[in-house]
Formats: sequence, structure tokens, C-alpha cells
Amino acid sequence: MNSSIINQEPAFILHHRKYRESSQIIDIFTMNFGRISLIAKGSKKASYRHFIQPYQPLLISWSGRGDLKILRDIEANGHSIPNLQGEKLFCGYYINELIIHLTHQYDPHPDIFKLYQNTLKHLTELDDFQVVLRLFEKYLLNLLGFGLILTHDADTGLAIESNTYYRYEIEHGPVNASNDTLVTELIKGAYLLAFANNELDGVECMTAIKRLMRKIIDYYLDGKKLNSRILYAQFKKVSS
Amino acid sequence: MKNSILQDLINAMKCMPGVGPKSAQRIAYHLLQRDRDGARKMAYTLNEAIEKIGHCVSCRTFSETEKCFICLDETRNNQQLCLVETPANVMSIESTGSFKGKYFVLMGYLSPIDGVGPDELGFDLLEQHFKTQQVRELIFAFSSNIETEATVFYISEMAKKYAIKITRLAQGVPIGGDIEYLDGHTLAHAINQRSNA
Repeated sequence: MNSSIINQEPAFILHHRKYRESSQIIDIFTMNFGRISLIAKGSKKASYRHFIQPYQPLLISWSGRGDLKILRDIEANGHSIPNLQGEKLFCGYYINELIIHLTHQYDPHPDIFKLYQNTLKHLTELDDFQVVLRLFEKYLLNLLGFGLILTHDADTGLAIESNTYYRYEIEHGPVNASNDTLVTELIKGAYLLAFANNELDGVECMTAIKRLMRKIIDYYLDGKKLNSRILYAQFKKVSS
Repeated sequence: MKNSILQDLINAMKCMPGVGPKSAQRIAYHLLQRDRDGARKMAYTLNEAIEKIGHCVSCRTFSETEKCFICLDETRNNQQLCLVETPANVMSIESTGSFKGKYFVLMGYLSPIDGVGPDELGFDLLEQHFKTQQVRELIFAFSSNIETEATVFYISEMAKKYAIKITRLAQGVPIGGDIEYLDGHTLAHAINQRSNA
């Protein structure tokens, strides 16, 4: 039936693994169908085999109605994105893992697809990958419906003040912490405002926002571990 | 269930790569009908292999002895260490007869989504080689794709403090290959990395 054949859907390959002698199972992130799994029969010898790699814009065709669709063809979708290099290779694993853990299969997210595509481009173009990753996390949560409040106090509704410290309550927002007796995990208003304006400057601001985002992302991961984060920590240990 | 041993045999055959239910049944019937001796030999050898073949303590390839025959061979060059993904890759390179150094078999490459990290690939043991042996050159003989790049980068950074020269396999036109049918990436590589004629 026609409805079970999809032609030339814009997609990225998130991950692939061997299946039997010469086939592969490929997890892809598509523009209009969300995240799906395909079986690529005889892919080791197929003409499209050199397209089976992550981080490249592709047009993928498949058929089938069950959970596991059958791959029909892969073509390039416009210009290729330059390969990630050095530490940015770990960033690629990280954004793929976030997409896999935070989106559901068959849940269409055209806006997240665009975010993913732009993030890959920014990763190859910009030197400071930490900024790219923080903005990816911010927009990803936004598009998933978990948007952060960064410009006003969640209790009082008052505007965030630069020199005041706040306590960020997950699924609520920043709360004035002037009367808190505990001073751990507080964040300066100026950093929240900077993050709201996408202007992450300075080591202190970056560290504060990184800590905040890690806490929030961990909450939504619901106990799942990010192996790419563990790998990066191990890498930093041996390379320093 | 009747014939449960026969059914077990058919199911057991299915664990082999590329063998589905139909082939499994065909192999099982063939062995029972026509080649019981062959089957007995196979059963014995499989058992022996499972019991006795482990990993070489030095390079991690399959070996019946503590160290494999390549690691024990004193005529080989200790200064060159070739990194490969699988024991099959060792055999491929050995069959060319053009490499006289030693190997280190990772048994895969870094793949966080599959849970394969430095511990699974024996990076600790590899760093011990850097520390204690006289490795001067590290040769990456990996499949050419973006997924192995993180592994190459990680190990290269690890090797930096030991001042080891790092090289990788050349990429280019295969022998007997027609330029017309070569993919763009390989051809671009071949042009950029051209050698003196």
C-alpha cells in the first residue's frame, strides 16, 4: 500500500549496528516522522553504504508498517556537513544520546529536527562547543515543552535582578534565595539573564549554566545515564 | 514435546551468523543423516575452543596460550604497534606479509550509545604498553568512517605524552579499481594524499 512507502524523507542517522551477516539496523531521526528504526538488508554491499554514517543530511526512503521498517535507499541531502573533529566528536555522541533518550519513537518533531541540523552546523563552525551545547539543551527542553524560566522570579513574578542569587526549582523556575540559609546550588541573576539572551560569556557564567543544565537534564532523563558524558569525563582524565 | 533433542539442535544451529530457521534445520538433518563423524568432530572442537581459547594478555587477540604467537615472536618489531578492531583484521594484515610489528586488538570501537567505552576496549592495557614498551609508532588500521574517529582521537591524545609517532592506513584507489566508479570521498583523499611516482 502507498501509505506504507515513504520517499526521500530528510533525516539524520543517529546510530547503526550490525544485524546478521551483512545487514544493519539503523536508528534515524527524521523531519516529519520523528525517530524510527530501519533494517538495511544487505547494506554492506549496497550502493548507498557510504551514506550510512551519522551527522550528515540525508534523504532516506523506506517501506513497511511494523515497528521495524525496511530501508529502500539513502541519498545525500544537499551539501554535506564537514566532519566533526577532536573533542567535538564527543559532542556529536552527546546530542545524539539526548535525542534518543528525550524524544519518543514515531513522535514527529520537525522543529527539533531543525534544531539538530543547526546545532551540527554550529558545532563544525564555532570553536566554543560548550556554548553550542548549552543552547541546544535550552531549545531542546523548550521544544519538548519543558521550557526554562530565565527572566522572572517564579514565585513573585518580579524581573530577575543581576546581583541577586536564585535557587532554580525544576518544573517551577528561579526563586529569590536571599533568605536561604543554604548557599549551595544558587545561581546569580546575571547568569540567568545572560542565558536568556544567548550571551554566555566568561568562565564563571559558563560553569554556573553548565551545572544548572546538568541538573535539569538529569531530572528529565529520569535516572538514565548518558554514556557520552561518562566517556568525555574519562577522556579529560587521560588527556590532561 | 517429541524430538526435543532434535529441536534443541536446530535451535542451537541458529546462533551462527547468517543461519535462519530453514538453514538450521537443513544443517541439523544433514549432520544426522550423512555426516555423524563430522558432527562429532565439530562438537568436540567447539567444546575445546570454548574451553581453551581466551584472550592474549598482551594484545587481546584470541589465543590458546597466555600470550599469542605474534606477541611471543621475538623477531618482530616491538617499536611498531598496529591497532585493529578485531582478530579478523589481524589475520587480514598478516596475510599481506608486509607488516612485521606487533598488534593490539580493541575488539570494537568507542560507541557510547552501545555502552562501549575505554574500559571495554582495554585502553588501560594499551596505556601500559605505551609506558613499559618501546613503542615508537602507533598505526591505526581501522575501517574508514566517522564512528572510528573518536577512538583514533582518544588514543592519539592518550599517546601524546609518550611522544609516540601516530600514523594511519593510506586511503586511495584500490588495485584494479576504476577511477570512474570510485566514490567522491575516496577520490578526493587519493588526490590530496598523492605520492611520488
